[in-house]
Amino acid sequence: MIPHPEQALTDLAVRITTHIVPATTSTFAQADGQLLTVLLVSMAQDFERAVANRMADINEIKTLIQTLQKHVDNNRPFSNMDQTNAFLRAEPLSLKLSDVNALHAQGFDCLIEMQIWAEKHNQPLNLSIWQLLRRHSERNKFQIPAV
Amino acid sequence: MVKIKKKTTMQTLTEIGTAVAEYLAQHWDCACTLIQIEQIPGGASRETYYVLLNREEQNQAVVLRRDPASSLIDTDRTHEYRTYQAVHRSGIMPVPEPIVLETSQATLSGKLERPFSIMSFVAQGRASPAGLDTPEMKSRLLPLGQQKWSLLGKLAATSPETLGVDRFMHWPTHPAAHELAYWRDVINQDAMHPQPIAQAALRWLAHNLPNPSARMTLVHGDYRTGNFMYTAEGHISAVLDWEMAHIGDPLEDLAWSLDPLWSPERTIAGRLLPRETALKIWEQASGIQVDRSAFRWWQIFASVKALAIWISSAEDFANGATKAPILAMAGWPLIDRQNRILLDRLAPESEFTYAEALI
Repeated sequence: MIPHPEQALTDLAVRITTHIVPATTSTFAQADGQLLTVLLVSMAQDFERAVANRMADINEIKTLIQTLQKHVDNNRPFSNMDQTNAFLRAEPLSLKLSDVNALHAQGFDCLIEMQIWAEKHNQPLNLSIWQLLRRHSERNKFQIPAV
Repeated sequence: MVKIKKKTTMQTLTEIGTAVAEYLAQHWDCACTLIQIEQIPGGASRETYYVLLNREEQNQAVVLRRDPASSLIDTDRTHEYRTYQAVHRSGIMPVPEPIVLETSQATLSGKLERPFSIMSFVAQGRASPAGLDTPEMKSRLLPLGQQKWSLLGKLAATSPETLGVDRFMHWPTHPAAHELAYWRDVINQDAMHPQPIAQAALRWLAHNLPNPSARMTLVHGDYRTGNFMYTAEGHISAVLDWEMAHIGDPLEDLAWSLDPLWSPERTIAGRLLPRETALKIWEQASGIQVDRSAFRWWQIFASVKALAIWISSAEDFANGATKAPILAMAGWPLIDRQNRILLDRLAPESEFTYAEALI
């Protein structure tokens, strides 16, 4: 087990910047080194929060689906209800990131279909979806220098 | 977008440089030997090398652009090379002089392995966007901005026929629809995870398609800070990276150049000027008054096209051969930032934290 993996990745990123990049005379290798530093910092940030952030999205999408179910009727049909209901009942197969990602992808597919419906039939739900996307985006924002 | 894996073996820089010298000795029919070679960072669509040669006892520097084993933007190098020729011939913008394009199978089985082109090296200036943020460049930003958008305006004022690019480029009947279809396919083919923000933006673009363009021009396709070289005196010495050039609506390049992604400061276009100032310079140089309604479409399109490229590069990094960090850079942090720009511009009740409202 790696203790504090996010800190380890950040430390390795700093090591590249402070020791490897200055030691090379190739501008191409220096540029690659700087990119690797940014990428390792990005990975460190995502590593720490990935499962929590995906699960937050999954739970928020499930809440929106419950809103959707109240507004769908014969005049405003929603063609993907079976898939959406299946997602509503689903839980990740495990807490492995690959399993959480698989369910998250299923949830995002439902979200896209739900927004297509909401754009036509329910503006408050559409607004709620945009707000969810905003929270998703803020949760997953990388804290790195502007690129 | 069809991604093709090409032949690749581990080669030293000296082997590549020597192969270039041998090739040019035949091409020029004179003695030519390698003095120095360096790989130039930043190129995502081609491997780019600075090569200094001894040509009949004279130093001559050239730039080799070789297809990578896997690339961020899959483009045809013949198309790119002919565009350089057309723009260089016209004198509208400063571009490196094209020397030779090599795609023949006989040569490709030789030491350089993959299709390549060779161009003159532009000695004056550098392309680094971050270099513009230094104190000594502060007084040069205004003249550089004036040149950047004046050059683009002049390109917009020139017809594709005058440039001769209509002889090898597709002429779309509806540029906005054509571009939207292409980049929608890229997103749908290459996304490794569902992309709700991109999909919402694609629907917005489809619902708000502008009328067919009144004026057609050569579109650079990636006209941004980072793709031109500038001198310490504040002069643009070369416009680079024409691999996405095509015939289309001049507003496409203008919108792309103003995308908030290209500047850490959201009100400044390309680290140079306020966005409205840039737009006015372009209007004056092109003689075209920007249709603000159509331009709103092209601004959203610019962010979606960029997002498509970042999505594609993420896929390329995951499944491609090169594992170049630039692909992951485009694929991870840039998707994040581009999504926030689109959210600011499309979501109701936006607070415009990462992007100004559409012009």
